[in-house]
Amino acid sequence: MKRKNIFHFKSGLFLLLLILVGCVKDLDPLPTDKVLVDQLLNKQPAIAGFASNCYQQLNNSFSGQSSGLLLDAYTDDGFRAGTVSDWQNGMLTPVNNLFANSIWTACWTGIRKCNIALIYLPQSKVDTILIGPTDLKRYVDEVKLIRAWYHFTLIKNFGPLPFIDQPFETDYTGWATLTRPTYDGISNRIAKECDEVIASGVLPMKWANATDFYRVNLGVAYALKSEVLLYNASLLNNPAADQAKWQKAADAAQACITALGATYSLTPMASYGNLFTQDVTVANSEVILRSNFNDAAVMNNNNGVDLKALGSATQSANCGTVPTQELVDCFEMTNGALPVSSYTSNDHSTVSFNSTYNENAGSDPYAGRDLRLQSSVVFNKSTYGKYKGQLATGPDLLIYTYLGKTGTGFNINPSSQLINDVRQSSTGYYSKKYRSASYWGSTTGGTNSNKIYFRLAEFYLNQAEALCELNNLDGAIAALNVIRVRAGQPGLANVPGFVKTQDFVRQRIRNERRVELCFEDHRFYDQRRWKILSSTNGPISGMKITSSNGTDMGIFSYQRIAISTTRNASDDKYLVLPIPDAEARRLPGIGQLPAWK
Amino acid sequence: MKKLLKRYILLLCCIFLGTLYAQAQQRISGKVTDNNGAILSGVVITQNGNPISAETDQKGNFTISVNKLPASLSFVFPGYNKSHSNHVKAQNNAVIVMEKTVYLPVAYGEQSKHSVTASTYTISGEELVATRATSLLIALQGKLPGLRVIETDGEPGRESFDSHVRGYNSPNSNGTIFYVDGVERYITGVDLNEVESVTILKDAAATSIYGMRGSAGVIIITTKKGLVGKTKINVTIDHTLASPTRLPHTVSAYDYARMFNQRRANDTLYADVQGSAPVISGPTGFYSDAELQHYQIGDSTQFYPNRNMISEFLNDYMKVDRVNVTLQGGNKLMRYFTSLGFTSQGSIFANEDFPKYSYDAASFTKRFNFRTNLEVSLNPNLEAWLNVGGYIQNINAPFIGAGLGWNDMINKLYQTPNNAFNNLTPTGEVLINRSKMTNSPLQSIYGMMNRTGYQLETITRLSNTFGFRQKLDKLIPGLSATGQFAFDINSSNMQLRSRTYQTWEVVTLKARSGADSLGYAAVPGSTNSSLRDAQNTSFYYMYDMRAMLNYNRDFGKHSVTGLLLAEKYMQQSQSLLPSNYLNLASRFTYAYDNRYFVEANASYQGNEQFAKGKRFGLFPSLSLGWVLSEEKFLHNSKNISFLKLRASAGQSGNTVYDYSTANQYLFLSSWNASGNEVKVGNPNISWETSTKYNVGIEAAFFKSLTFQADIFYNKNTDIVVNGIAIIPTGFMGLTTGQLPPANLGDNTNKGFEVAVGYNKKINNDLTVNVSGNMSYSHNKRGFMAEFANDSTFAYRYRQQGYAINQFWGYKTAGLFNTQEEINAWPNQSALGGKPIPGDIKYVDLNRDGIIDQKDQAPLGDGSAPDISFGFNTQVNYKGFDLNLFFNGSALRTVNLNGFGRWSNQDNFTEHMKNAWTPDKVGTGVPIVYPRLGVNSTNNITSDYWIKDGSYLRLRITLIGYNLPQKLSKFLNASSIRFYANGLNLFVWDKLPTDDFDPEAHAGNTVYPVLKAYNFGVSVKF
Repeated sequence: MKRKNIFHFKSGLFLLLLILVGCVKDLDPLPTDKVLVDQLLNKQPAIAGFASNCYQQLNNSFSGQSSGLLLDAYTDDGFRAGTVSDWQNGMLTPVNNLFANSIWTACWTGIRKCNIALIYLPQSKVDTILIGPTDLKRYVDEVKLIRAWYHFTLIKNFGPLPFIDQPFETDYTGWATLTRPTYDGISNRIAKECDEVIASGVLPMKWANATDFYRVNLGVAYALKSEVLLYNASLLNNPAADQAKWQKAADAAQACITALGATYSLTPMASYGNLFTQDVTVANSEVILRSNFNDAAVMNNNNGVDLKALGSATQSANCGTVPTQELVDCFEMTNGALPVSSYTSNDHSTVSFNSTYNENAGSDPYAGRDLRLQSSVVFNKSTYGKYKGQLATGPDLLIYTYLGKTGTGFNINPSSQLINDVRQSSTGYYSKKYRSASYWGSTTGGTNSNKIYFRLAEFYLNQAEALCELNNLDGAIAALNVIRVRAGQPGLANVPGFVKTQDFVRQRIRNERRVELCFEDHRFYDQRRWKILSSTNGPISGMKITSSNGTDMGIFSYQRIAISTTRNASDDKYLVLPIPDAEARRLPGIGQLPAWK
Repeated sequence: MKKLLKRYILLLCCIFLGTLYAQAQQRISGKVTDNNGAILSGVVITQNGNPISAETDQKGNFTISVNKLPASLSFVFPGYNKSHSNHVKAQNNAVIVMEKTVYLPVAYGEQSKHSVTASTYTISGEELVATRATSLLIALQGKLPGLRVIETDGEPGRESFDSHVRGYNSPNSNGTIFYVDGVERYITGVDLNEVESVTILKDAAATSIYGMRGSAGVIIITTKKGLVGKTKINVTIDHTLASPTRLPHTVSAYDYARMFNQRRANDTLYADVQGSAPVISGPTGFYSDAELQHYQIGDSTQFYPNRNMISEFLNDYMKVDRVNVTLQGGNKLMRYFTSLGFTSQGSIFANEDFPKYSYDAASFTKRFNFRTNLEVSLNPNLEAWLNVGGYIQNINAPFIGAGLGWNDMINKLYQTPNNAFNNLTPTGEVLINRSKMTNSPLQSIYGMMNRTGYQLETITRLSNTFGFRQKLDKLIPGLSATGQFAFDINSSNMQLRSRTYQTWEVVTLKARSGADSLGYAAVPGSTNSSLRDAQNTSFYYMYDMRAMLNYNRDFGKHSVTGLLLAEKYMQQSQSLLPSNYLNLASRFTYAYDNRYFVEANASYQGNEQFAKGKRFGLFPSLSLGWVLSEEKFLHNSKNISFLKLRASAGQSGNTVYDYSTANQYLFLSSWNASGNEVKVGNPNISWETSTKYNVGIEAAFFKSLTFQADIFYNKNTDIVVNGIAIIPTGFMGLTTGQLPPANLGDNTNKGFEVAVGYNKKINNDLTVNVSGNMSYSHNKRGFMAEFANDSTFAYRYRQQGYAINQFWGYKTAGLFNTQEEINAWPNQSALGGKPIPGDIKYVDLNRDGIIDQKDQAPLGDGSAPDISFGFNTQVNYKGFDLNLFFNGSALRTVNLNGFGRWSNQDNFTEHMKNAWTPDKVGTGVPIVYPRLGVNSTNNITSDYWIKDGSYLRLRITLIGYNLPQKLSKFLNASSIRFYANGLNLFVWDKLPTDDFDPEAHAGNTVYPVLKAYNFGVSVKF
């Protein structure tokens, strides 16, 4: 072959390659119809969005937690008429798992969002005029805190699970290698996250602008840490009663109270009721964090007092989860005595009273009680405020719950699903927290119902509990009395029958917690971590009230009646929730709890 | 182009080595002919591979001087290979017979039959034309071993097909790709008269050069090209009458009313048992005895009609008229092939025009198609070609409804019972069929077909190819370069002219005195409107450009060829983003002495649908061939004229991505403006890989028998799994539906194909040609990242370990005859309701006392046949020829649907008269159907409805007659042929009813499979 020809041949080949290389470039353009993450990093709404998206999976409503029932319906505080839930039926199984989506899926989705945010927030290319370095640091701390909170929600329901700090790639295959840590290990890990946020200190203790009030603040870091360490020290997760854990819990509660003291304070009793009817944008001295979602419709229309017969537009389709007699019995007399000294029958229909309390015909068992009863429970002949449009000068609505009262009367048949039955309470009580007479039908509200995630009162109770377990009874009583004094109740040392024993103090701290935090999603977990499920989650009762002449003017007679309903979720199996079956099998290293196998 | 290629390859490949014994400086003379006795001029004769010694003259004679005897002579002539008659005794008047080389299309070229080492099969266009089918894929059904074609829609002009080579290699989208004249194209535009040959490429050796696109196999269609010689003109005229192979046998009005009452009684009982609200009962819910009597006697057909809806609205025959003219000819400078065709198809639907609104809703399809393939020799070293083909097609039809087509019309027609009120009131208004029906009470087939306006779709398609080939022998002997550019466009414009019409109904007129009577009243709210105009358009285009270097040279007994190809293919449809493929492919072949063959193929291909770095893949293959019949021990065998063994191994791919919005750019995560993940991408997503092994044998015995067989094993890996079920929602934080697809699965696919042919010329008048083929393939899914059901399920996996397309449903144990049987049977109300007598008994496979989805089991053999076969007989006797072609399939199950399954429609078939009734029990009367009823659990998928779908079909029946030569010459034609043929005349199957064709897709409520009688004449000039 001639040299010239070789040259031609080579240049031909070269030309061919050149065309090919040119064509390779044709494969490079990315689709114009998709938004890619790189295109978001210089956009303010997207960077802010990375952080605010993390809030999306928080349980911000009252109905999201567990198949539309308030969580209290699964405790001895509440009862919901009509269909018996799978939970109470004892039908809960890993397969038939009503907590699968609301808690398991939601939290993991939230954790993924957090981990994605933590990757992209530091890559922000947004002009610092719009999002400055401090803003970015705040976003990062917010996200870290929410991520820790999701983890805590998971472990307090499903037992210890590993801390996940990055979004898994979709081709990750090491699912079998994930194993359960100890509860102590994961709790300390979550606490460490809180510590880091506290140490960083860029989050304000309270946000300055009302529009930011929904965002987690530094107070949440203290609050979350206190909760996490309290749960870690509790009997369920601390069977050996390791005092060091209680010490950490006590320290965290103290740190919380100290740190928050300058910014937050307990609401005076006069405005205690306002805690539960305020919007997220309202500054409240006691509330550390509130949901940004106004769920007044669910609380009043599907879980409320039926005010239709009283002239309001609010016709509740269901009274929803109503307080039990057992909860009402926890509200002390004004002298500090508990009204009931013991239940004398298995179904709680007969009881022995303390001397200052009676349920005789013509008496008023709800008079002379802890002021918080009025704020938390709607009982017979209790005032319920005014509905929207009612004359301001007129009297407040009085709610009667006696048998036969139109609208708000008594439902004698708790298993009935008829709408006229489920609108009426089967216990003689309605729940009041987050409800308001001024809610006006389904169209225009009147009063807000934004769920409280954290409020200051809890941490005094956390401190009291931890100190009590450390046998520092004086410290425990002092912390407890902060709450009691606000409610107008005498100090613990002054209550009838006071004995300064750990057991007495512990019982009264637990009672105080049940009263103060009722219907705020605490009792469900307290029953578990104290391992009192088997002794407390049994029979429940209501108060059947009859009027002598069938009107509001009659003489009322009181009869405790057992509520005939299945209450099977009380053995130790129910202390920790099962992981959804399919998930447990996909995660052999995590696995199902032995009790649920 | 093919022609040219042929010439170059042949020049180098086909060497005749004759050994002649002669004295020194002796002269040897003789004559060279081909095996038909035609003289060959220009045959190059060389001695010992020396430069040209001699050439045959115009009469095929040659004379050559040789140094000494014996001497070795080579006879080389393009298009011919070595003759076996190498013992030439005579020094003078030696007769050398050369055999024409058979060339087979392969990827990006062609190879001689000897040298093909891949698994392919080629069928001539002539054999396909014999079917007189209106579309190429119908003609291919059963003809190519390894190819399975299912017609998914038979609507004229809109036929669609599902085709698979060697069954399934992927549970995902994995369609066989079609190449027309070397370019990937839609084949809807190809007319049968234009087809030279169709080749199926099956194994890796044949398809790896197509890279990530080849795993489903490739069909190559080659159109006819020009010829050097006198222009040949071929005119064919066909007239076809087509009608559905089968139609449902619906019951008479009286039977309908009677069975309706039976069904309603059952439904009432069923509702009672469920404790749910009763279905309509009482006098309005049932046909009264008086009404039944009217239907039976037929004394008041105005209000109690007894019609035959199907025969009223379907024509007995659909007419198809076709004319085709082809011209083929050319000279050394230019060669051409031109085809012009016109097809006019009617419809099986009998609709009429509507002069009042002066529009024509008549159903017809008209198509004009053309193709011109032109080759020009610009100089001895440069050739160019320009191939243009396309068609314009009009499809007119009534406007059935927005987004609705004939399939919906058929569905509604079948649902309308024969007691439906008449089409029109005496005053000519459309009467709706308000009867006791529950599902579709307000419809008028007449109105839908004739009063709704019309739609006219115009489809235009053009495919163009321009290319050139430059010989580069001066540079490197045997080298040539080819450049080609092809582009196709396809557009469709649908004009919709729709209107609404006023409907009337039969009402009871209350009499002031005496009896009430029946009369007509307009339905409130319905009005007559004028035509509304709307339009739908669609557009598609693609281009393909390539540069190719070919090398082809012999070195003594060594033959070497090489191919280097660079190609870019782009397609774009509607608003979709374009999709590009880049292919750098090569082929290298080496042959020794025409006996041993080695071939290596490789494609390095890329597609933008995968992430950078994952975009390009290498798809290699290696194949070997050994022609035993060229070995000395078989060289002179009288029994075995040809015997070749071949083996191949290699890889090809499947991009899965089916060019739709949802499936584009799966590697990218997309986000919304506020930073939420919208769709999670998988940066590692890639093609599926198919590793294929194939062993084949080709043989010819006794000069009349041919045999070809292949065994294959495909191991498919990286199978794309959607919604990976083994990934936990926990930790990942994504639900199954949000997970991106990933290459996790695998499966195997194995099988074989056999093709046998027997061709015997018994005497000058009689020729017999018998051939048959059979294919078997069976796939099995391996790992599919499937999440196992828990141990309470009868079967823990629904994919892994089972074939793609496996049916899942319930096993049955007959029907319940009494309530006692129901009480004793496990509870099956989880399936939808409590059974009543006459309902199907389902089997509690997991023995937990409850029949639910945990009891589902694999049922039947799947919808795709494992075995398909074809059998062809052709007899030519004098001027007559007879052709019978059968095809069929086995190891196939049909999931009965529509009328085959259950009377959810408001109509009954004769078959349903054998439904369960209490009085039939125990009497020996056959009960082949559950009790009638709309409400029941009988309709769910179970082995009651999954039936053996094996069938045998007489696909083609053809009788032809060629006028004697003398007569046709007298008429100035070279041949005149008359023929009559039938398509799909008979089918034998095992289905329980003959209400629909065994090949009907999804039961029977689709455009029916047609049988056709065709009469035609073909004249050649």
